[in-house]
Amino acid sequence: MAHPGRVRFAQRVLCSLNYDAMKRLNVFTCAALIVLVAHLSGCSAPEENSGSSNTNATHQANSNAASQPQIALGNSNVPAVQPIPAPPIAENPSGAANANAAIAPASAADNARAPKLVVSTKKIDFGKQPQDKTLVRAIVVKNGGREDLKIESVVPS
Amino acid sequence: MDFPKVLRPGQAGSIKVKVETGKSPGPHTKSVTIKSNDPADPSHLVHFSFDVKG
Repeated sequence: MAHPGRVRFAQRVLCSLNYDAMKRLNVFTCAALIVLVAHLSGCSAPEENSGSSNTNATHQANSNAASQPQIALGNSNVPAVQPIPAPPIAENPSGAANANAAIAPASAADNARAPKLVVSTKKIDFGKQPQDKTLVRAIVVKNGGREDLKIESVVPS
Repeated sequence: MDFPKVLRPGQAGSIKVKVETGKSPGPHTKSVTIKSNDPADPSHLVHFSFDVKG
């Protein structure tokens, strides 16, 4: 708000300087000029605030600029999540499902008919043994499938 | 090692394995790999363990 003293001072200055002009102009124009000068004189103080508001704006801009890299980092972390393989399944659910359904029964049938090696044991513990002794053990194997089981090799490792 | 080359469906056989304990005392572990045409288990491992007295 404009101080009354300042308004009077501005009014005096304007009227003394533009006295001839005031004669020609109408009253409303002069009043508008007075009010404008009064506002300008009254609003001189907030220039610092405007500066600070600008700094705030720069701070906000900086803060926004600083926050953008965080978002960018977040986005850069997103590719680590990108390998989620859900989309390919969702893209062609009917085709993929049909393809899998077409493959699955065939593989299941093949596995059902395929030879199956069944071994009696996976680990044999001989316990404590003397030096330079030959241990002999028979491992029982069986074909649990429906086709011939061919044992290609038995290799010590 | 003796082992059957082909096993018919349902047929069983035996694989004879010989293990030399050696001279170094202490626990030992050895293994044998049985390779076959089983699509689900083409290389089957059987482990042997023994402890040689010092």
